[in-house]
Amino acid sequence: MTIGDDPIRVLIVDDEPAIRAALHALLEIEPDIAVVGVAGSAQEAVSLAEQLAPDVIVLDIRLPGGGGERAAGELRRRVPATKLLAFSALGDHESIATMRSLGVSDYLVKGAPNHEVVDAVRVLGQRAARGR
Amino acid sequence: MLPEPLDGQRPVADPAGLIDHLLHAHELDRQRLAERIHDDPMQALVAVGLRMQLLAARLPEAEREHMNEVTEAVSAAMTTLRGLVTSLRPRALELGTLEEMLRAYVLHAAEEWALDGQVDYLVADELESRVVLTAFRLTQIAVEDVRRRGSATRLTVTVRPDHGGLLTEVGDNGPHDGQPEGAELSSRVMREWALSGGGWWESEASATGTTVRFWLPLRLLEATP
Repeated sequence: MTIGDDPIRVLIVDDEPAIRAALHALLEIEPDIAVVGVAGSAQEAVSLAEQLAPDVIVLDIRLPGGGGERAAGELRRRVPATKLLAFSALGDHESIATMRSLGVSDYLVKGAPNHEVVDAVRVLGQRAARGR
Repeated sequence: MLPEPLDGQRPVADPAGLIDHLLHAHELDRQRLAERIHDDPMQALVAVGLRMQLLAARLPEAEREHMNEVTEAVSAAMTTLRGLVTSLRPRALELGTLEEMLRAYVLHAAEEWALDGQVDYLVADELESRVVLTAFRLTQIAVEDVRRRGSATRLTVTVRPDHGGLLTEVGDNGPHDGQPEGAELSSRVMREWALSGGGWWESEASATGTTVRFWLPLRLLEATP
């Protein structure tokens, strides 16, 4: 499902190049999703988010340059219309609760099936469209 | 509770200070290992899993089935590593008091493993970090053993003052049905932790459940009851 005729615009943020590339490959094959940028650090994420205003940011929570937690707070402040999807190798309650408290809309544990990643991006993309 | 930086490089003379630094060194080393596991093998497995699923989607059905089996093995390895990272560096350790740590860790663990969890914390005194870290780590091992035994539906942790120390009981209602793999090592580790903290450790198992009990002195060199 697209936002009108426009695809869901996604920014991928992860410090691991192999994961960035794999997520990019996964999302790019979906006709209703467009990866508009990739970032490898918190600062780069904030800068690109302000520049690109994506619908959804797929955000790793362990990042150089302040970490995903700091990035999430900063992103909420600077691009409030963008939905944040935390994508983390950690699945403990405290990590999830911390990210939720920072305004993350959804939390996926790395290792989730690919279709769950795509579905989560779609759901948040639709929510972002409704909020605009 | 994150370890405090060492106070300069002066040698530490008193036994309590040495134990504090030893415990903090252990915690830092666990943190280091957890970060290495998270940053290297876990991230590599995530990328492999994502790519394998993409490849599987392009394969004929027969080959896809084989690829799916391998993907499941990768996913299982991820789950194991995630558990190891959480065990090495539980986020509950970042909380301020033993009561907060135990409530966060035990109740979340019980929820995750579909157990009825309860924590009764009956200690009013502020505890030294040596006692907090040792009591938390001992409880953590005992709680993880409850999950590994797999037969309980209820988990209770009680902490109370006793003979100038801290008495902790970790109990479950799972009928004792032999020891799971690694249980003997767990028991030895818990006993060593308790002894290194100047206390003792014991365990009782029966048809109605298992209770792990350990005592730690609030101050070092106090008599063991």
